[in-house]
Amino acid sequence: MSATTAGALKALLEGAGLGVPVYRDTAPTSDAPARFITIAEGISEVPVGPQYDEADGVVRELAQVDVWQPWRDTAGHVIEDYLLPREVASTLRGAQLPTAPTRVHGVNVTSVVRLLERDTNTVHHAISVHIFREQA
Amino acid sequence: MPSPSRSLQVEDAAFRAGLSAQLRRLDVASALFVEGAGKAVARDAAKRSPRRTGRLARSWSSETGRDARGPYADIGSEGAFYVNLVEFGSSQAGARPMLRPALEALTINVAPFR
Repeated sequence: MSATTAGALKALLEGAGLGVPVYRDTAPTSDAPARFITIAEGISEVPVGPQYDEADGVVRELAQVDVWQPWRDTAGHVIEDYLLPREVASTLRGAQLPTAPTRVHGVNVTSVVRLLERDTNTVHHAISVHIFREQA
Repeated sequence: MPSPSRSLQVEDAAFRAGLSAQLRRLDVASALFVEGAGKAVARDAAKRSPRRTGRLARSWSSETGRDARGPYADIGSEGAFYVNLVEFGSSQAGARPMLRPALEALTINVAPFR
């Protein structure tokens, strides 16, 4: 059982066999791997009214899953893994997060934004997700 | 025993005219509603913007328009090129979301957006 929603997302992504480490909020400053994922939870949390099959007490939490990777190698060749962000989004889409501290009805991917940082040679995909879950 | 029945006659031309008038009223009301919602989100995003010079906070605006689906509000930031780096974060600094929480907050009290 994970203590937080971010922990549950981390468990989901680590179990998906993506081959990249997943951290909460930020990666360790020393020995950071080339490719990694970070998760920021609780960006906002709003109640969801009773509709469809959702019961009262359901909230929609906004979280952000970030995929970080190098853009080019020292020779200037593009080494960005184009499939990685898609695989992450695909893993998240519709997930039920069985290890979450509260019952999760589902996860929706609401947007994927690609941001290129030329000065740090980093490609950053910011994946916004809605987590529909029972209130804590 | 015969089952009770009722008949209702509708004057076609009057019904159509009435329906058209109601649709026009709904159209005006929804355009005003979307305009108000867009301004509310832009104001909220400005409030949530981190401030050093105030440039980012001042950059939020909402423009309304209409397409095939009806009225819409286009909320954005002009003049602060770094807005995406603040909203989504960068390798140098964590994300400080402004627009997305503002959009989410709109759904708390405004039922049509839920």
